[in-house]
Amino acid sequence: MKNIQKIMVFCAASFFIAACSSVNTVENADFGSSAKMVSDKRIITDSGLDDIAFVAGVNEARTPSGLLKIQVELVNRTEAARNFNYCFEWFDGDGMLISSPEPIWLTSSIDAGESKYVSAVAPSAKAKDFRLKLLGNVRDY
Amino acid sequence: MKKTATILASILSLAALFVSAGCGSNAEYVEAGGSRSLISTDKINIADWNKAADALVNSMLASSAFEKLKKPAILQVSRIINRTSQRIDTDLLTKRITITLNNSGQAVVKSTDKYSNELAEYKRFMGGKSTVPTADITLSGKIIEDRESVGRDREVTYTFQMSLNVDGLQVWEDQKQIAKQETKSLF
Repeated sequence: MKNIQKIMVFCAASFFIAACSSVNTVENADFGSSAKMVSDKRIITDSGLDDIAFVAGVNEARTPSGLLKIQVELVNRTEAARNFNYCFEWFDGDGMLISSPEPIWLTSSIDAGESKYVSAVAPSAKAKDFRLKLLGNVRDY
Repeated sequence: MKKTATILASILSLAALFVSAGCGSNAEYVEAGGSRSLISTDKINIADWNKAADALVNSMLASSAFEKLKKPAILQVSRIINRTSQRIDTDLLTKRITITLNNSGQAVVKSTDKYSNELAEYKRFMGGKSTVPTADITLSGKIIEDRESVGRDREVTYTFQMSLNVDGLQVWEDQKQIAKQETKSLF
């Protein structure tokens, strides 16, 4: 009986340790100080997702050929590894969607406490603006 | 006897219910390769092709591979080697890449259309000047599959390798790995 209790305690402890594994990081103190940050506007309709993929910062740059490049830092503020979907949309100077090739949703995973970068290069020199859309894991199988 | 009849009736009614449930169609439109598209460990799914193409073309555009070439550079899609266990159409990978390169103004793709090339040859013959374009840069690659299973867990990793080549040199190369895991059910 005592042995069974011990096994149960061990299993519970193992499960707890496995569930709580999260990412620790270290970086230089003035990390990202020279990055060109973008002031952003956020529309949050899913606060749960905002914890899984919290947008910590957005910065932009230009490729050698002059195309707009966007990099977004996402942080998982939950205590479990999660999947999420993201999609970059690009707009020309008139606010029209650049639809060729069509924007696609990409699935990515992020560990607990992890900071992850998602980035994209504009598919056209006409792209002046962007929008990042985030979606939780919708595959229910 | 009565008991057997009841059991038989129950089995038949269950079967009828199962069949009638199977008659209904619940098909619906989903975004191709999108967040709700089906994925499996059996093959490279549309979502995987999209993900690989997107990552590779982003890397290409962010590099300086096209910087020293005339704009737009003439690109020829070369050989994409298939080292997977399935028959694949590599256009699923290369088309999204060439569309993006074309739209970005970095490259135009050399046509594989036979009639177009014949017309160019005819114009060259008539005008005495070559109008058949020669490629400035070529795109080549390889797709590799790796499978692993531990107990009931199965994992497949597809590695998409690509390079841009100019005059025998690889001016850009990158790879995108996509791994998928599945736990097989007991039954």
